[in-house]
Amino acid sequence: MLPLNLLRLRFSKGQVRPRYIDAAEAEILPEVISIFRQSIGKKLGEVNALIEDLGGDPRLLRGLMHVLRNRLTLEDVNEAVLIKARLDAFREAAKFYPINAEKRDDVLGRVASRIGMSKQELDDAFLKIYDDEKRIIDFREPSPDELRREYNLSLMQTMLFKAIDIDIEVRMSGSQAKAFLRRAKLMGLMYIAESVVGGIRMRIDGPVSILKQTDRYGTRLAKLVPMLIGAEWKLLARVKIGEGTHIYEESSDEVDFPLSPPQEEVSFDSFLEADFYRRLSSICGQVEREPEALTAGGRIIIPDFSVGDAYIELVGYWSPQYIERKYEKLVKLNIPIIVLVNEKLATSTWKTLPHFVVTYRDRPRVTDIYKLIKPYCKKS
Amino acid sequence: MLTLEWDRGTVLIKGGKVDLPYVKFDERSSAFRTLAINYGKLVKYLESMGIKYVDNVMDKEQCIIKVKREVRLRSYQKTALDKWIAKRAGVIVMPTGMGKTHVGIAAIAALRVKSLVIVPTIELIDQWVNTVEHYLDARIGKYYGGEKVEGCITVTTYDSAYISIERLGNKYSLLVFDEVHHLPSEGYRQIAELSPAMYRLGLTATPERSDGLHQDLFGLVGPIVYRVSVEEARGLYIADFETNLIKVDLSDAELRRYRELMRKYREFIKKSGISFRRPSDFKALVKMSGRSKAAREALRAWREARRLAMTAPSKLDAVEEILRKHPNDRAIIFTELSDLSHEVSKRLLLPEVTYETPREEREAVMSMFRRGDVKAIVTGKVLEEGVDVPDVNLVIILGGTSSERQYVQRIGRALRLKPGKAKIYEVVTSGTREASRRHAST
Repeated sequence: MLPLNLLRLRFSKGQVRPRYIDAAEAEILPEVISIFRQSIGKKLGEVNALIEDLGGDPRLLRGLMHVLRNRLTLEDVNEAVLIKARLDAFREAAKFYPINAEKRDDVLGRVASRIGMSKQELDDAFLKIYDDEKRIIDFREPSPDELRREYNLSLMQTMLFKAIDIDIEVRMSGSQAKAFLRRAKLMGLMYIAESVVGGIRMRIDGPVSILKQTDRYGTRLAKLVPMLIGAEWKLLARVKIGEGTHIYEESSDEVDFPLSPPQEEVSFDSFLEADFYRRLSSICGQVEREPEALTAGGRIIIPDFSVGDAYIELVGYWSPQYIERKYEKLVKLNIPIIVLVNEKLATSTWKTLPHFVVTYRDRPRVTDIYKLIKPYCKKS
Repeated sequence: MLTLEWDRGTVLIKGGKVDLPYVKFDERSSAFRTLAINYGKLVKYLESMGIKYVDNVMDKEQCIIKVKREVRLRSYQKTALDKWIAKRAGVIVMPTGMGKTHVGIAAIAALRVKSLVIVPTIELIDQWVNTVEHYLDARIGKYYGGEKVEGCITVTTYDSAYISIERLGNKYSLLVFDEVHHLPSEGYRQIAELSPAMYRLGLTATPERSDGLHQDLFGLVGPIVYRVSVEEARGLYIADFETNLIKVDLSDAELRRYRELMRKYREFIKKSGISFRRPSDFKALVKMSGRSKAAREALRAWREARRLAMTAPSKLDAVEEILRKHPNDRAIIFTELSDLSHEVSKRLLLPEVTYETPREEREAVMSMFRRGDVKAIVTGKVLEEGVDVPDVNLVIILGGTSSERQYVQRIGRALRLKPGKAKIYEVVTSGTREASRRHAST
């Protein structure tokens, strides 16, 4: 999914369609990939500028960068240490405000030595709390065709951000259809569904839809799309663009999607989860986010992550009611799960849970649970 | 018997027919449904018709809010509050620096019901929470991307509220919208529409919107119940200010390069026959650049030239010089260009507060700035609205392409001062388009 400002559209006869990559535009794909291939060691910001200089539709270029961002690994910066050093430097520099070049060197040198760095090292690392300033260390290269398909999927999802409702007919098995609808329901959507030969037909929107045309369910509708990959489907969505509502029709024959769901660009409930996911993935390879639901005493619980057969639940600092509900569910869960819990919450009751309970202070660390998940890690 | 229930931003009416223009029958639930904002109207209607009903809309959880310290209001604040209390739904317009937050807290203290405060930025969450804690004794929650704790008084952002109103809506009887001019936009307005809260307060310095949507505030929140304009306020309760325009020069080499790039760009434009009457004509060039090498070169030249002007090294010198001239003032340096703000921050070792700054650092920096441990910060748009940084009296603006509202807000920031003169500097690069395009600064 792309940021909305990168959406490209084509209007004709009252209908609207995403402007996928056409044959002429596809010619730049190998160039884009080649720039990224040669980007190892360069700063992300520099590489993005190189891509923009290719010319052509800037929204296409930025969209491609966005899609490719999931295939990049940036240098791992110890943010906690860097932030501490930066704060120290700001504080000390204030004594010589406004600081001149000579005093600046002194301050940086002193701060750097405290964290075992040289002055020059800290100077170089100073801005690396920003992604644009980090260097690229790995690129999982797609073929031009893969890139095209991934871009198409992202673009189509982005278009659905503005969808008011959606009618889908899809050929899939009963259990697939059930999973599809369960997902929709979990996201707070509503539907009317009927079976048709070999599949299911449904209209999906939300509670407010009947009262007001709204695109507030659009993002959720878009998140359902990857579940269509590999199936035969057609859909009709009403899409709100500017003041008007447009019809958007599409089918699996008309757009090339990736052959399997691409490694998801995941949206997270919290920075904590996002950060943990990033670290876990870099160590363990394929990490699934919100895998299938487990049942716990008649209620369902969807773990935050799974690595192979190991389930992981992260318990951060949420409302007391939420924490209590979560505890109740975990008590009843029969399948063992790794529970990472903030030590501020980890009262003795949490430690008696029939699971692997690990506490953390500032943020959960992969190393704390590595022993437990190691057998399931692909990269080990 | 008619039953009213909350359902994710709507009110479901079960067990009977209701014939009202804003109520619809929903086959999916076999019940009537209406937007939560109509809840008050609906209840009044049922009462007036003498129709009996069971009301399960609002969450029943009780809350105790006690006043720890009396909120002392100045006379105009008191007038504003009284006008609002007479209706319990409406907007108060007051320039930055005149204590809108205090009026908001006084409103919560007067009603003492579960309240949801909606603010534009995370910085403002912290600021509201601190001020609320100072005056009121109650469970206070912060609800946003990084932390989701609800309380009797919960402070959240417009973004989080838009997403979560389906879940939060029926728990709060009072909504306080800080910087309420954000509310009428297509998405955010749903916070008001999907909430059943009967009491609503909007606070802003500038309700008007260029898209005209401010008219909708009446329906979403209520009428403007009180208004003080900047003109009335200036010199009365807030400090006067002066602005200075500083033009910096490119070095000879830079200027040569700039001219060369611009010549290259103009030559192509002339040859290609693109006319530049509207900003959208620029798109023609961008489009061309996909197919034509010459267009690509021209575009690249234009980009580099603009960069040269925007990030002219002498701008950094100018900043240093201005700071040196006012070493005892607390300063905010604004620039929308992240490259430039990175540079200023790195060279002068001044903290940077932007959307991308990690939260831990941002929080630490803001409290250092409030305590006076650092004298200046560099920022983009984050701080433009209503963040409480007392004693700032020096504002430096780098690059000159901001909209009217941002400009007013920035100056407003400087105006939130102890008595004395606010100093505002605008730094632009002379001999470039930046200097000619700049809008009037006073």
